[in-house]
Amino acid sequence: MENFFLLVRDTFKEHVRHRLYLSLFLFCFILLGGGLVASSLAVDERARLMLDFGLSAIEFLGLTTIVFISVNFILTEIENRTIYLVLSRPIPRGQYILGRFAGTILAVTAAMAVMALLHGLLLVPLHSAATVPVYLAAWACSVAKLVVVGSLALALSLFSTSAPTAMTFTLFLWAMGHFSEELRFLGEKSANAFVKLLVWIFYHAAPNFAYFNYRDFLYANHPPTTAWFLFLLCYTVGYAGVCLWISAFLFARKEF
Amino acid sequence: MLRRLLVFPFMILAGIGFSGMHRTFPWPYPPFDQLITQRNGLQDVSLMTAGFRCLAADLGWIDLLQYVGGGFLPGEDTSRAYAELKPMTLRVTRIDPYFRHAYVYSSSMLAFFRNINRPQEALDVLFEGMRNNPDYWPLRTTAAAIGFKKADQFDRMAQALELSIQQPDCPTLVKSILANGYKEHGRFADAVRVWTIVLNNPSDALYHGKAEQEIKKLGANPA
Repeated sequence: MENFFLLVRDTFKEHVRHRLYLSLFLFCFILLGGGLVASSLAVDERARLMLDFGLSAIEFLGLTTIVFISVNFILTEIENRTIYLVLSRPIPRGQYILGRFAGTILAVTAAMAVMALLHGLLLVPLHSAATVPVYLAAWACSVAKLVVVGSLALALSLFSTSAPTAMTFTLFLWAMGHFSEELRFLGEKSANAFVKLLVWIFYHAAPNFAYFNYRDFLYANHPPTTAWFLFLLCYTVGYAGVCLWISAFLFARKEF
Repeated sequence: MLRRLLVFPFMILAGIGFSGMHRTFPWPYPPFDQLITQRNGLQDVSLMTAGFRCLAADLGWIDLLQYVGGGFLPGEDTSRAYAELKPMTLRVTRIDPYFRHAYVYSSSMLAFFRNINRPQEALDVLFEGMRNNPDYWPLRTTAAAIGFKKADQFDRMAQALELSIQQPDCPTLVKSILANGYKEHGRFADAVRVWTIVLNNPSDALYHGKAEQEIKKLGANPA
């Protein structure tokens, strides 16, 4: 267990010192500043636009970072052969994957927390209708999405061994995951049994990212209940667990 | 062997979460074939595909406001003022059916602006809003106000709008319509009262200048 925490700590430090991490904040400043300008065009709905724009920007930056880091991190270590330094020690490969993943998630979540704090400060003078618990719930759902996307990207990077392919597949699944309800609708409309089956399999196997968008649901007539959050947590842990298990399985079969 | 079996509890957990999420919270949005995609369809669908549905609605809302402030769109029917106002509103509300402000704002414009004066279109927008937001009563009071306007009953129309402007998220446009209506009907004290509400509301900041002007014109001092 000590090895696991060391891996998490080292991964976290490594990411925080990376240039990409600092540029994340720069982009956040630019996007939130742009949001302030754009929201002034929304007249009465300025607070709503700033809330949506900020939460979307935070999620977008977090997701692009996690995809880029998760896909490249282990592949780069394999290419640079620095992985030998770690694996020559008595660390199980599964623990290595889990430690690296947890450190990455921790680093990106910390960045998202700082961005959320900044965004929250901008929302205060706009008298946003979103209360702190609602905002935190929306932010936490973005983090949950980040966990699933990160684990998926990691599994795909170990499966394909090429970073661009893995990134493309992750982004494809990200887009399709947001379109899953529409896919189901298309499947229901189709008269072809094969198409119906294909859509059914894809709908259940691909991550349903549309359901992580609590920031959209908070305007609905009947927003999600506490039970919904628990099911979302189950889904996040379950889906990320499966992806990490696949990653560990693929990594264990690699020969160095 | 045990490690290999570890995947099954995760699969079961994901399955429980998946079915539970769907059971406790049915998908609250209309299917994508109901979207208005004649203009800006690519922008809306791209944003929705990336998972930013409400942001797509917000950008549609900014497009609508720019249209309201700016005039005509390419290929627009120029024989009617703001011919695209209804489709542009439905574009926003089909992406996010809970964008309640858009229903009230556009229907008020469609019904009460003298150069537009298309109450039937306004009612179409409102009825869609009421179907999607049955508990949001300002939509009903706006519909009632439109009905009274059609029947040429200003006092009852004003009563209905008075209820609407009590809502914290009531568009400033509705307050402005009501104040101008009072002015037109010689009820200057009521007009000043409504403009004072606008002046004291920080979220109506864009109308503060106009409110001050109107209050001065009507012979009172701003509060």
